[in-house]
Amino acid sequence: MKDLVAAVLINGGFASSKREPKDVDVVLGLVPGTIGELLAGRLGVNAVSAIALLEGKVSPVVDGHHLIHGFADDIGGPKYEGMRRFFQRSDRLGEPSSKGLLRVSLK
Amino acid sequence: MTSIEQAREQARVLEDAIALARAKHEDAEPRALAAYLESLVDELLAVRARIDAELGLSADPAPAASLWLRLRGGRVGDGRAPVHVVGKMLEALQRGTRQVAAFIELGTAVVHRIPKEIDLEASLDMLAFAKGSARIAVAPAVPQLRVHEPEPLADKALQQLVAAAVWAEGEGSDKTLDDLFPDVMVRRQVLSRIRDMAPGPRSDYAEVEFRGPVVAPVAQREAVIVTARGSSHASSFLRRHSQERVTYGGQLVAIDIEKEVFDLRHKHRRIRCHIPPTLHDAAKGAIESFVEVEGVGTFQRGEELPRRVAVSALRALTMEERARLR
Repeated sequence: MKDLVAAVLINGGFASSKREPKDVDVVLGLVPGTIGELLAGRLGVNAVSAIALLEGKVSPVVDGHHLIHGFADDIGGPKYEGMRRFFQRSDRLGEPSSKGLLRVSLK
Repeated sequence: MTSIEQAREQARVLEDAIALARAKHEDAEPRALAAYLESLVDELLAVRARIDAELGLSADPAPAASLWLRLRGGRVGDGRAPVHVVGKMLEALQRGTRQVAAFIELGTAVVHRIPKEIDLEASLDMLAFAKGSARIAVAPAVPQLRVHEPEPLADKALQQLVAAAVWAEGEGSDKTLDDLFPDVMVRRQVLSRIRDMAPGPRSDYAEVEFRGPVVAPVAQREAVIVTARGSSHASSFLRRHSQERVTYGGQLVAIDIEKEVFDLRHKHRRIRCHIPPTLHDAAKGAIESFVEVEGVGTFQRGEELPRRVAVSALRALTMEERARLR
């Protein structure tokens, strides 16, 4: 599966502000077309399991939260773009309403 | 604190993403599509919950609940909890409620079969499982039919269990527990249920919280949290009280004079009773009779009935006393 991940967006909450973050918010950017193939069952893997794996649902649990709080979608896909926009904003009073994300390119 | 306007904007971002994702993958197999959308939906629900909380609209999903159980820590979280943990918790709560209810009604602990009418009145229903925090709402299964009673029997029993939880977590004294539960057997039953519900050192959860209308009257606060400390304190009490003075009624069903023992059938269980020579004749004459034995019972930690009783007194039960045996 790792060959299918082209980029990872890491939410700034983990990268900067919290002293002991409980989890890491990540958006996995997959090679375009991957999700369509996965959901259609053409990748030869169980789609439900693969998504759970990619999104950290099998990562260790600390204080009731999986260490990886992930979102997997094709780069440019609706979930990828939605979560990118979501994490670039904050609804918490006292925090800037817009903030940066760390983008790691793997390809 | 949450900015409502910004949270609404966040919710719109997620709603748009869900709509677009659904449209793009509308031909996908439903379970796979649900798995793909799940993380987005969970995030949207979390944002909406923050908006509701900010607006003071954190609607109670089960306003009729007598008690909310909330599991935290360990493998509990993200709206999930291991089934065996939830099952064990609910089973212990139900069993304890029926046992305490039987004691409230009959004035004596019931070890085996709770009378049907009490069993029904002390039955609990699960009303809700609140997503996001492993919160479980329970309430009496049957409506309050006793118009002269201020609260349902199940609620009274739940209050007693909460009182025991407060004692365990607060590492209360033996005297305090004795005042709460003077009866040896019901005390053992309640502490065993607390041990069942409280997390141990290797449990899949770190704490259980009790909250709801039955909590405040006995705890003088809104919530009671029980950790491994409560389990340890309850266990310690049971360990220290492995021998207690007991009195049981039942049928003397078998005797072995050479070994100085007889079996007392108490409810549906047999208790091995050791008799001193002074009681041999009395015991021999009471075979198949209903008797009351008094003595020192030896308990194993998780047991509600003693493994054996060193009998110091034995007498035949009257017909009225026999009729009251359950």
